[in-house]
Amino acid sequence: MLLNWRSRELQLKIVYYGPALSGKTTNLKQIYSRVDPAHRSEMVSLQTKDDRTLYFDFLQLELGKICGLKPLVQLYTVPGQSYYEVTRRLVLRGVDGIVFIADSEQSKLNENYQAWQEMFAFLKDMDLPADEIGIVVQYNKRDIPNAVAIPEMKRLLGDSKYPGFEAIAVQGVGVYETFRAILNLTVQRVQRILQN
Amino acid sequence: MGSNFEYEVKLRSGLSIFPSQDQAIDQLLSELVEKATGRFVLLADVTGQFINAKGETRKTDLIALGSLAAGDLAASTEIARLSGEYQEDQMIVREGSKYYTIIYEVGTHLLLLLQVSIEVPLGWVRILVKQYASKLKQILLSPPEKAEGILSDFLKGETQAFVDQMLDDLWGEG
Repeated sequence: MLLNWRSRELQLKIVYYGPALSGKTTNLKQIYSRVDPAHRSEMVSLQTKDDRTLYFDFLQLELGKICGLKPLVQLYTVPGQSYYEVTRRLVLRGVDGIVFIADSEQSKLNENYQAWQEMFAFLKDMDLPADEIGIVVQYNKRDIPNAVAIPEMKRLLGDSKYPGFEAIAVQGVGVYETFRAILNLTVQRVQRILQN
Repeated sequence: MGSNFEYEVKLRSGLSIFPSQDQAIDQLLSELVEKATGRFVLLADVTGQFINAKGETRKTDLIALGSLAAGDLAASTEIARLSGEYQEDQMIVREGSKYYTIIYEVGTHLLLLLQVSIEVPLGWVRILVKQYASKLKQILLSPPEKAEGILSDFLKGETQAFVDQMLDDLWGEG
């Protein structure tokens, strides 16, 4: 979070986290395509030649004014492949809110679990208590034939207390709801911190 | 540490820039770009959040540049750490065909990116960048101002309705 008292700008960092190919970049692309260009930056993607995220994707949104403050929301993704562990940790620096994208495919259950555990381990290492960060979960790819039932996915993620949303991100389904939830959680968290 | 940093600790990952600090930063960056005969200078925080820029910036996507510079610095710092060459205040120098681009870590929270012609002596620019980074650190250590009034609406407000309404207004069919 960066608060500029003169310009009344509040910059927030939201990271889309999750296993490889779960739909993190797809979420950002959907947001990019649906938000009025006057209120967003160009999307920056650091990708490999085969379009996999190498470092991060980045997009900034300008949201007008909330109770006198002008929030600028920066959206990042992390590279999902296991060997980019160090990079994922770097992108999480200074995070205010996290969307965890879980893949509904049966064969990806273990990868979801690993990514979930890793994310909390990184937050702990960086002395960022998870309960001080807004976190929501998106259960993506709900349209695939062998999609794992939501209760099972929730159980895998430790009976997640975090808000969850079903999505088919590639069609834009659930993207807005997820984004709205994380933004509200993040703004409310910032408000609470400043009140104290 | 000054009380400004007590505030920062409370925000965990955050940085709070008060009006007088913002003005002082504005002035320092203008001075730096002028003294270095630079093309432009940019200040961001190490998590990628853009703060300020001076010089020829009209054609440059400063927001993206801030996030990329932070990514570059973070990667470079990790490379230094892994290869046993880590030191505080990392500097990256990129030599282009017309310009040097220098990225410098300003304490633990900020970074400075300066682009200067390759005709300007690099040693001189490095010294200048370090001097101004030191001045920037001092600005951020200055005591906080009474700016709470600015936030009073935000602190008392019911934010959810505003957020929902704004997103509804921004969201199109794609």
